[in-house]
Amino acid sequence: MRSFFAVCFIKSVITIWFILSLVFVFTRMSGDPTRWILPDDAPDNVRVELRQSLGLDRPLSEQYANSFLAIFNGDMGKSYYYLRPVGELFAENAGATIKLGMAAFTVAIIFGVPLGVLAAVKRNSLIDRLTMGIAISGYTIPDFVFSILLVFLFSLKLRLLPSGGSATLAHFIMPVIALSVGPMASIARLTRSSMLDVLRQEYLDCARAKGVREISVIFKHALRNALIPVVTIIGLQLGSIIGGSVVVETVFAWPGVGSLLVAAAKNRDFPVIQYGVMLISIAVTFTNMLVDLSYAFLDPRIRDNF
Amino acid sequence: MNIAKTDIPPLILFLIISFITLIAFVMVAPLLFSIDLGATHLLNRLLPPSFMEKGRPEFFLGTDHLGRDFAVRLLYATRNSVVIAFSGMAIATTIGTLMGVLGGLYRGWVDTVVMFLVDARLSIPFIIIGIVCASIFGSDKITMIAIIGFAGWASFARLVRSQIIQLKEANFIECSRSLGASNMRILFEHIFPNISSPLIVHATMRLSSFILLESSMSFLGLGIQPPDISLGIMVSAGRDYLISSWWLTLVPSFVIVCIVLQVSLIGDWLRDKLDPKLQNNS
Repeated sequence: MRSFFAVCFIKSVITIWFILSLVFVFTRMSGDPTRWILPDDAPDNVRVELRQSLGLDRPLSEQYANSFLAIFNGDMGKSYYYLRPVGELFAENAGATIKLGMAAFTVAIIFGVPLGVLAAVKRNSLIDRLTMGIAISGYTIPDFVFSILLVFLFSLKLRLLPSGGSATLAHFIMPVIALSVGPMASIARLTRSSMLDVLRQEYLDCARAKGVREISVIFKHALRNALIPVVTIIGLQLGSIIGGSVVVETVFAWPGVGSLLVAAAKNRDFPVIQYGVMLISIAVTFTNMLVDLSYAFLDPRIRDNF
Repeated sequence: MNIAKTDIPPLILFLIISFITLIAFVMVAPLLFSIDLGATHLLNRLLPPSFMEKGRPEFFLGTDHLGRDFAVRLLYATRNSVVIAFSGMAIATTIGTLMGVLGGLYRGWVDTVVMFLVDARLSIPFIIIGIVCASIFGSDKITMIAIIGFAGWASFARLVRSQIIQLKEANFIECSRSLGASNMRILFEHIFPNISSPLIVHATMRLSSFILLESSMSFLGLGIQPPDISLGIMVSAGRDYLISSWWLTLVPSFVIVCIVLQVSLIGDWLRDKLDPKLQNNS
């Protein structure tokens, strides 16, 4: 088990190193940033000063090393656009995104798993079809279209909910729904198919024959085994929540990391992009690692091999 | 299993025919309705569709905020979105197949490198890669196609690799090898014909996510740039007029959802048809 963990960890570290190096090389290849920060007729001394203050006058090797040290000391230099330390910008915005993401995650799990179980138990019934219909629309309707539909319906037509901002609890409702629909759909679909596999097995009949009540056969005996693949897909939803938050935050003017990244991409604000990619790759890679480990932990066949 | 010999349910048949018709129509649309995408007619701005009150018969779906014919622009936008997604898919399939073949056929360190690249690619969400690439390389049509190809190859590589590893153990390939067939001969005579169906299924299923990536990026303003047009740009431009002219946003949104739904349902059906393992399951 320990060597399995070590292999996973080393792989994750190499992956993060590779991604960060790639982003570093490409951003440095795209030329001198003062060209698009300053107007064309800016005097040379202003350009030199700006380059100095952004740390671009230092040798490339030092910049490269600094971009990795940023993982530990948070110092990724200054944003080209806001001319403020990048770490500060992220510290201001991360809270809103984490709150939104956690809420969406919770909603996706709370609704996704029971819907999947219900659909599997009542297979081919109206509930099953309805659930799978919701699941299909969950991954065919793009986040931004779904968000706009919500705004159109609940803000403009019914005037029930605010269309943007993050001040009160009411502001949370629509972004959380928009962000959780996709992951919820994946979780419900997988729970359903995994439950269907388990429900066919004979040990459930054995439990029923012993006189165990149906509800506890389903939730205690079947769901426990069906949840193993579901746990892994729940971990993998982190990526889609991060990707979705970029779009959803833009639609709802949510002051989070997603809208910060979109603005940075438009302004070619590379330090912000580098820092964002760093955080995302670390979060996703280590979650994937935990998923691998949890799989090994939950499934004795894999666990015993290490 | 041969697709032509299987029964196609009426719904799927309808979806396939309507999808092909839609693609054919938007591809010839620029020949039928030739317009200058940049030209504006401010006197006609924000006219409602012709079937609504105050609509004019010459503008079927009304006009946008700069007085341009909305229906014709919708055709151009759909064409751009579909062309970008299909071309991106072609590139992703090519790169993915090549990498998968390298990994599956040669194993050893080549395989390790391929799988490492796949894992690295999959550890960053699709749209984040798109955003980062667009900020570095800009975002015209060609770049968008390249971005989709670059961001989408990994799952193809994984599929092809695992298929090849399975097939290599198959008796008929062992047979062929013992008769002296080279790697290349085995690849083209035996492996490609056998992995083509899963590859087609996978490509169809991925196509919808490529359409989503393209439209999300152009919605965020990071895809192709005006005066060129795509469905995401139309949704984003219409947002400011959501109260008074809802069709400017909801009609292109509806088109995106329709295309994605068609492609996904066709893909799901193909997968169930071509994969005997799933036939008893769903």
